[in-house]
Amino acid sequence: MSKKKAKNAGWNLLVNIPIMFLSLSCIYPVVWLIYSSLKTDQEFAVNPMSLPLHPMFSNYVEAFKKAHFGTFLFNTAYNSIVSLILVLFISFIMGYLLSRYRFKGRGIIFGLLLASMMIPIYALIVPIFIQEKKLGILNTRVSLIPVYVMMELPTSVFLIDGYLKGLSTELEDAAAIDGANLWQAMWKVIFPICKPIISTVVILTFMHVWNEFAFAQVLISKEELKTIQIGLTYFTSQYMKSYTLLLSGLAMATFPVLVIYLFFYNQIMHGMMAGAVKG
Amino acid sequence: MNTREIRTKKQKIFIYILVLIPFIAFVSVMIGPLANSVYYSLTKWKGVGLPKFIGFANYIKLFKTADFWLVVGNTLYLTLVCTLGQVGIALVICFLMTIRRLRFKTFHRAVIFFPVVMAPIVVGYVWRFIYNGDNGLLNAFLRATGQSRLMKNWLGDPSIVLRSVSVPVIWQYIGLYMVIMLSAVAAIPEEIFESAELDGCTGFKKSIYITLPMIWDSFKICIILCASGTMKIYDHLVALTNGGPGRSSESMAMYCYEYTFRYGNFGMGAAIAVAILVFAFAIAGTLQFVMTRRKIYE
Amino acid sequence: MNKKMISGILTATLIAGVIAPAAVASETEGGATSDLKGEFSLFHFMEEDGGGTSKAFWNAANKFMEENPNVKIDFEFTDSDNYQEKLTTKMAGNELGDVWLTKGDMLPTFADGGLIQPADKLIDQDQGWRDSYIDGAFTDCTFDGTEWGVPFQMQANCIGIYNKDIFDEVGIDGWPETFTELEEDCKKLKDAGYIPIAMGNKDQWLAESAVFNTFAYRYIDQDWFDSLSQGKGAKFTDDQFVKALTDFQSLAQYFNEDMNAINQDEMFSLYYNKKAAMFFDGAWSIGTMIQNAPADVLSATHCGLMPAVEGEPGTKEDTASGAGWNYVISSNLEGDDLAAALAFLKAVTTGDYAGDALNQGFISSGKVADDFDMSSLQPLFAEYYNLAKTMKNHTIFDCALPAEIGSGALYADTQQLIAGTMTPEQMAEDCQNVLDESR
Repeated sequence: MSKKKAKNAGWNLLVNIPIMFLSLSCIYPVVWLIYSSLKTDQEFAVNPMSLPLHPMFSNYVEAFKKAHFGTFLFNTAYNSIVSLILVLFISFIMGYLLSRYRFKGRGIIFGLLLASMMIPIYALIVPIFIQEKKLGILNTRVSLIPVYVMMELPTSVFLIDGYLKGLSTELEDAAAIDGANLWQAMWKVIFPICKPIISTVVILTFMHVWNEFAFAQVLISKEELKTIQIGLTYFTSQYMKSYTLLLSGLAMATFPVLVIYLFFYNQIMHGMMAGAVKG
Repeated sequence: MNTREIRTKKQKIFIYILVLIPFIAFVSVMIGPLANSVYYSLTKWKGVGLPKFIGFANYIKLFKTADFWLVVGNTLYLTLVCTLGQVGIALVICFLMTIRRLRFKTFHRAVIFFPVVMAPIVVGYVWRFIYNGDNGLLNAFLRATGQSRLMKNWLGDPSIVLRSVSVPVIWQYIGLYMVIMLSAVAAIPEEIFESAELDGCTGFKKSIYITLPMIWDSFKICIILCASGTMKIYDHLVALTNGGPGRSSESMAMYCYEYTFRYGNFGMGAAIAVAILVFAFAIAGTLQFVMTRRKIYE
Repeated sequence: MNKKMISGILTATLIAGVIAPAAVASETEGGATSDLKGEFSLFHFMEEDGGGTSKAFWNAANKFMEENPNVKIDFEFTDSDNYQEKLTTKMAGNELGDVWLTKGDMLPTFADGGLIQPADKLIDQDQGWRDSYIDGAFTDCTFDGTEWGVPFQMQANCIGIYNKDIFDEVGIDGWPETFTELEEDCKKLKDAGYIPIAMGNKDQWLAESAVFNTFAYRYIDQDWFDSLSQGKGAKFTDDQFVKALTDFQSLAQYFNEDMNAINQDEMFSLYYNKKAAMFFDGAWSIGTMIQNAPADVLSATHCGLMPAVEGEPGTKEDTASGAGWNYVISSNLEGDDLAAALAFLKAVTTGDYAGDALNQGFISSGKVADDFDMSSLQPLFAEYYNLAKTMKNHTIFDCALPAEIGSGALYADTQQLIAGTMTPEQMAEDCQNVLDESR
């Protein structure tokens, strides 16, 4: 009995210790970001890993002002929310139909979605810049949104498609017998039970759009339309960078993404709590 | 397979309309520029005036360049290692999330995702500190445990630098694939687990025979996402090593950036991008083939 | 600006001119051309309320805008790390605007493509403008015998920075004058447990552009480089250049072992923590030292020139330096708008700007007024300023060679050279191949 107990304890350690180690290593960058953002530039330059001697909360105020966070935060939130809604709406429709029905051209659609996931964005920047110039939408409120929506679409469609593959059609079939048409079945019956994957799509899309830099950098030149990721470059002079202000800005820019993650991850886990994973 | 029949012609038209409208928008926003990029790859273009058509000359020159094959090798190596590492570890964590032995599940699930949202510069700083030759954590640990001969110039030695950079990349994205697969685990009906446990199917058995088959499609998507994502790897390498020493940790995407923006050679840059696309497609195709042909769980 | 506004302003100016001619007259007397009007866009990397070059730029720019209320400037900022990417994209999309900053290696593309107009003729039209620049200011913006740009800085790309306390401690009296002395000093420092020369070459440019480039001018001269860059006979594989590479490789034994893994900031950090006794870097590092070095390190910090090599033609004063970046003017800009842009460029590169630049810790390409008060300068910077006056300036490789070679092969190969994974002969051959192909 005691032998079995010892073996059990050994297993417990073997399972728990590596994961705990991994988790702690995942917290460290967040902790580092926060305490480093409170240092002076000199402290940071001398030793980037040490703790601040006198926390400089004023870094946050200064970073907020210098990076025009007031305006840029609004622009980023606008881009993120509009893109998110469009991605959810479009990718659910496409994901659902591509997963449930077999029709001509399905393979081509999947193939092209896949292709756009594989091309490095640096190959698209110049062509997209030229295209937007021709359309006259450079430097406008709609410069970024189409690009973001279409960039996020493939991943979201694939995720939703994969999720639905594992989900039986019983519910829709039953709804169809009750007289629901396709549109109704899709949104009233299937959408609600897709909560875990929809939450995942929300997290990924929001995170990508919020953090997107390359397109925001080239497609927008007007100060009043720039995003916070661009604001984060405002601490760089020709030969000098204020790292502590940059880190304060980064901390502020990362915070909303963490909040969104924790909120929607609870939505995913809520399903889990009710279902499979207890204990 | 969980598919449905298209019953009426009206339904068929409805489905086509719903799929094609967003798809046409997608093609015009993404595929148009992509096609342009393919065209640029057949031209000589410095960014001024009109591109001059030169056929496959860029590709021929590219294939003759030793550096190109070096970065192809680096990229394929990283893709293989990172896909195995990221999705593999994420899968194991998913399994652990379903067994009783693991404690603090809520905590783990919450924090393992944190690195995913961290900016590359932060990840770069933290890992460069770990790898630092002079006062880095890793070398300090080896010194303290009497393993000084294992101490290395982790990011400066061309023969090991690829292995060194793959660790932070794997570490950072475990959380991403964990979340995707966990959302599939969340969809498994409770009864399935309960009846399995009643039949004495617990621990790893439960993982292999119940969990994995139930999340197989999500697992496949993770593999494809991860492989295609790593084929484009850029930011991490810039933050960690900037591709050095020499080009020993440079990826194809960095090579593409270099030609496009540093050298202003748009034709060559586009040719490299097309090469990335071709390689990525070949990999995705192979994976698709392997994973569906076996039909292990379907 | 729409037409209504312009006419409104014109009317207002006219009325002001009628009602208060005295005021206008007094303004013109002050040297300001207040009747200047025009409109142009400027694409730049000068961060608002940033330090160094940015601060001097904005001081001058704000003053100009105050004095010339009828000139409308459309500023577009992108930080210097991402500037080139956006510039290239704008070029490909034909969206460059009126005035922008560019590095020497992109000049041929702009000039051959007819996108920019020569600056030399425009500068010469304005009496005395050219005389307000220091000698050699225009080297980096000269291509095909024409000066295409307006320079704003004069940076030495290589200066030695050392901690005198550490030198004293290991018994080194003063900065080495020759390569042999440098090697001996390094040996002493190494034996005492210090990193003799800190090197942070992760980002690849530092070892080549800020150290080797100047070191190479001990072996080769400006004529050799001009001949190389213009394809008139000189080759990377020439004995003298290979010799420079060989000696540089041997110097690398005194660098820290992780020289290719740490970046410039981490290199500074080795110096701040007194682990390293010296380093070589561009003159911009002086400003960084003044701002970030701990007080005891800063007070012991001095600077010196890259030592000469015995038996080689170059002297210690031969230094790779230049403007690097220049303002260039679109060929579409003309009339009043062009006049306004020129007046602006003059204001942000010469005159008061030059003195202000010194106060901000860098040397501008403009001449400093004779009555400038040097005592206000930080001691380390003043020391550098005096050294800089003795320097013989030569072309910076990566500013003049095509980017494939200048910031491509040369950078990557130097990394391998100092790591010992490439021989000097291999590097010379590789660089020459890339150069041949780029033609």
